[in-house]
Amino acid sequence: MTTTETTRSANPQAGASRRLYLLLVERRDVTLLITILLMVFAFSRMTPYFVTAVNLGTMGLAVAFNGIVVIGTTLLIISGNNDLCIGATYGLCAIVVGLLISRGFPIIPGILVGLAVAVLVGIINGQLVTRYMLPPMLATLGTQSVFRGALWLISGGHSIVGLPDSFAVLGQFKILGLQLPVWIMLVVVLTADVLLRRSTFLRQIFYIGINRRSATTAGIRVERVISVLFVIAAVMAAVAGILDGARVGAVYVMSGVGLEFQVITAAVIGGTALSGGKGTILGSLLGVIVMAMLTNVLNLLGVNMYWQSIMVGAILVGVVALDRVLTPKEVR
Amino acid sequence: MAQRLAGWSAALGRFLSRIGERLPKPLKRLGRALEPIFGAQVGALAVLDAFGAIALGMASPVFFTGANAIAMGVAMSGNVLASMGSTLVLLTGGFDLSIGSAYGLGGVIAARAMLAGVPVWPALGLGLLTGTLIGFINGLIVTKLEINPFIATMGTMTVGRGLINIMTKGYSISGLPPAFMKLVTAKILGLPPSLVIMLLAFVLTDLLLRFWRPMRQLYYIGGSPAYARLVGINVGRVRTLAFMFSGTLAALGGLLFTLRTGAASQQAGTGMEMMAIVSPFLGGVGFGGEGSALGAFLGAMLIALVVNAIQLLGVAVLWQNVVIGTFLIAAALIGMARFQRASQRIQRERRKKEGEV
Repeated sequence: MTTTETTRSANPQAGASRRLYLLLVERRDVTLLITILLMVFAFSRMTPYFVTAVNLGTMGLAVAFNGIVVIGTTLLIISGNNDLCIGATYGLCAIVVGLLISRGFPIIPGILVGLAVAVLVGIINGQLVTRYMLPPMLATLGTQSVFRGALWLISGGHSIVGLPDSFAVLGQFKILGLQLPVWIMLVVVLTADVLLRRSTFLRQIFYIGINRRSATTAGIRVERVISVLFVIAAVMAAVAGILDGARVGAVYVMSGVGLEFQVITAAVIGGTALSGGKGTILGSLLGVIVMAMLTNVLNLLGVNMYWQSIMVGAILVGVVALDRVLTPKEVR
Repeated sequence: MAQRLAGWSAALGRFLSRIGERLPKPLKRLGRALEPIFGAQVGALAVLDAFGAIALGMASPVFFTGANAIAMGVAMSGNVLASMGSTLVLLTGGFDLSIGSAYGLGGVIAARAMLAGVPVWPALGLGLLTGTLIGFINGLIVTKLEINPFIATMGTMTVGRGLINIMTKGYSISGLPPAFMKLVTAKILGLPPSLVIMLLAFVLTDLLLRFWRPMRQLYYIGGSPAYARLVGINVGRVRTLAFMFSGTLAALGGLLFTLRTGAASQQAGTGMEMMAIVSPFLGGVGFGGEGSALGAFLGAMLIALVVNAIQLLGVAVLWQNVVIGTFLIAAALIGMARFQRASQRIQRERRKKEGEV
């Protein structure tokens, strides 16, 4: 990555310990991986139930949905955009699929319709941001309200329960002891991570995020790339939403509320800069895992559920503040 | 479409100002004053509000009654108070997502203090100060640690909501002392206190934004923080001030909510931050250096009209989100079209000037 190169070139004579320090500050994925190992060690000491097959499975499932969603968010944030409409998309597509299937629509076409809705949502967001040049935060705040409203309208305010087993199997089928959503998440995340490092198309978003005008001048079709990113984000949200619905065998009208904040938090903890131009999929996934582990262990320890939200908020600000304080000025 | 709407609004302003030119002197000045107003989003919004009210009045006989006006005013008071504070932060190019939590926490802290035996007024003061404190913390995080306001206030939002849930244990706090319950039915000049305080806060914010130096400075900071610093504005302090006002006003809204309902709900203020961003934006408060408290007030009024219409006309409440979201997108489109027209005009003038040289 370019950032590590600047680290080295900025301090050619730096000592080994200093270089290690800079590496840790720069490479959030490495730091997070160490943090996670330490957390596993500490948590397994605190409660015997933490490292058990059942609990790890539960946690994997918790990571799966947010892990799929965070991909789109990370890509958008790297490109200097943001999407507040993700939670609404998550819920809307799940409700559409749920409604179709509960009315006897065949399952695979039903899911395809749900994904088509997601593509439409992505296109609308992308058009508002690129063609009509609205600030992404506002445009997606508006569409969030509209699509959440659409969800209420088509569901009539009722959750859809009792979906057929042939649909629920998508979320409950186990391979090697892990549910299907976990496998899907792993495949999607790995693919996205490799693509973000290797593919020309996704490398472009770093340039866009760092300096949009120069990216345009350099011949990157900025508007088209951003439109595609919005579609990717919406589709990822839809995939997660549908799998979530399949796992429970029901779709709730409140599904996905506040999800955008969760995934933005995870992405930021994972080292994605809201100012754009920096971030990795792997880092974001590790961010999701850290949050899931914390929630999980607090549940196991019987800590009041409400303390969790305080801790999440404090950790979010703490991580970003720590990053500010620890990063030397010349590397920023 | 948005281009055309912005054009119509500007044309209406020019038309009115031309009428104004033909009128006697005092009215002439009024006419001149109207043009920039109608060219801007505020004017268009005022017209929209008025049309909305007239249409609603024709559709429902109940609309133009004093009782409905008061009910609507009380219903919009929380959003107006939050929007006033949010406007100040938006003007600096910032964001305050912690408004909803400040709103809820203000009421909860006051209620807990009263139950702990603190007299009513000091308890209310404590609730208000909680909001100020949240704003101060936001300001410190944003200006001293230089953290993006979105992340900083998202953090304080989560922490604040957690505190609310812990202090209420997930229920509403009721059984407040009789001295407070007497206030629940109190009136100021025969009107509900929420309504009066909302109007006062609105007028005061608008005046302060027009005439008080630190608040004028918000516009400079929103326009360009770097230039604001160069001309000697203490950017950090003014931004912190904006956050403190935002928190305090939100807590005031929460206190009034507690006063109206006689209980502090753990749900109070959820989603308030979004409404408090939507309302100013409907009223033409752009991200950074543009807009007025009047605009934010009119924006909040439009939302209140929508809600009121849905209630009076018996439309399914489910429509509410869709309508408000559509309004937001439309307002954003019109605002962007207006911005483009303005920048085109500036370019034209620059070209003309270069031609002369």
